[in-house]
Amino acid sequence: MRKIQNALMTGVSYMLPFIVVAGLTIALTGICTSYFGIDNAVITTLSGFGSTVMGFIPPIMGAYVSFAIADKAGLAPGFIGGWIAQNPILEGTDSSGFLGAVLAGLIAGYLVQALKKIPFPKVIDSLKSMLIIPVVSSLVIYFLMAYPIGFVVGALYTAIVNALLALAANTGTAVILGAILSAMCAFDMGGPLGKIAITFIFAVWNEPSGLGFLTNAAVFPGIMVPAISVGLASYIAPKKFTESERKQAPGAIVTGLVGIAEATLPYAFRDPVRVIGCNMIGAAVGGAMMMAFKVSTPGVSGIIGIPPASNPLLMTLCIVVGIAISTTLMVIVKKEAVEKDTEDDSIDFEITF
Amino acid sequence: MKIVAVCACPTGVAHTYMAKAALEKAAAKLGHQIKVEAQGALGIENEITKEEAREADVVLLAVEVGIAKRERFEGKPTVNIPVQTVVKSPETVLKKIEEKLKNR
Repeated sequence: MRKIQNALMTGVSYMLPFIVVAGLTIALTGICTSYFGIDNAVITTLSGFGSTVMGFIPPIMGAYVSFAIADKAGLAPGFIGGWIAQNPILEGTDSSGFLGAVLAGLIAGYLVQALKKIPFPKVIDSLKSMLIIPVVSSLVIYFLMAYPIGFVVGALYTAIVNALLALAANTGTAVILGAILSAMCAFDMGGPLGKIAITFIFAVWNEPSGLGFLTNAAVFPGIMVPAISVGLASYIAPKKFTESERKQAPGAIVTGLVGIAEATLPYAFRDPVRVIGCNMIGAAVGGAMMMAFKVSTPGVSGIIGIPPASNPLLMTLCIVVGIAISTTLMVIVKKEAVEKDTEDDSIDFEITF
Repeated sequence: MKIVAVCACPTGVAHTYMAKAALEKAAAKLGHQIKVEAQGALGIENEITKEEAREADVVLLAVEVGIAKRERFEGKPTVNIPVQTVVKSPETVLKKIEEKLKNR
């Protein structure tokens, strides 16, 4: 299980630069058109290119999920499988998108690992890594992705997207969806649970319906609230924070503004329940409001993602409300700080020799 | 102890470097020799050479993603733990590794 999680995180990690380039290209061209009324061939082509970059995401995901499992030999079949997921080969099969790409990566990785273990005579051993593994694994992936996965996962993916669209279309359920996604990000500040929420958004990122941009806006409070709130709270109630926490406050606010939640970690380590609890409540309210107002944005990275939003003012309001709630709660519920060692000595692990 | 460590988190901008700093500080305090390689968003920084890997008593992988150039550490005693554990409790991690190597 740890191995699979590790593989998925690797895929997300290598995919991030593509998401950022695609997101910001679309965001910037969007700003040019909607704020400055620039609407010429250059902008249109550039915006189209942003969408092309977005299409790279499934192949990159497939390639690096597979790479994490099977090393270099896993790249080719994973990439090929991911590309097929994005561009179905057979007529009548649906794109299995991100979900298909993840599956392709996992299958390709374990397949290559299995192929590596087959014993070969010494003389043709170099042939095995140069020729046999890439060709055999890629062909197997081709047929798996084109036929069974193309049919089953393609249909499943379409069903999931439709279900989410239905959730997002109804204000009542959309609010809950927004609150949960946002709270997930606030829960572990750049950790696995938040990445699941983000992964879900990337999975529907290039949905023509705009579902990706809608859910993307909903997690902004989850990403920005934690670091900004701990920073503000340590100015408002300095006695409830340790000296090192107060020193980190300006940094926490700045990193929070640009959408890096990790700066919250030291605060959360020392007082997990109160810090994370307050942040999740603030983030959930912000996320729910975002969905209620149907704010969407193709931007990423904190405040940089606000100008291209469908309604920047409302978006800012949702985030500010989240921060205000979280900060206020923290100022109220946190206890006076005692300076002490925060190391946890109950941790355990194995050394493999 | 002579330790070589690799830190890598999914985003590669914050945890990776926090873990690196925490390990270096803890090792200095406890009197261990350490080299920490960061595999962050921009690739490998402070790369561990094959020789350094060979000479190390233990390899500490504080990673949550698949890392590049793993073959350097083949056959070495290896510890694999989440990045967060290192950020939070670097000294405990190093002390426990030392203890486990001794009791082997």
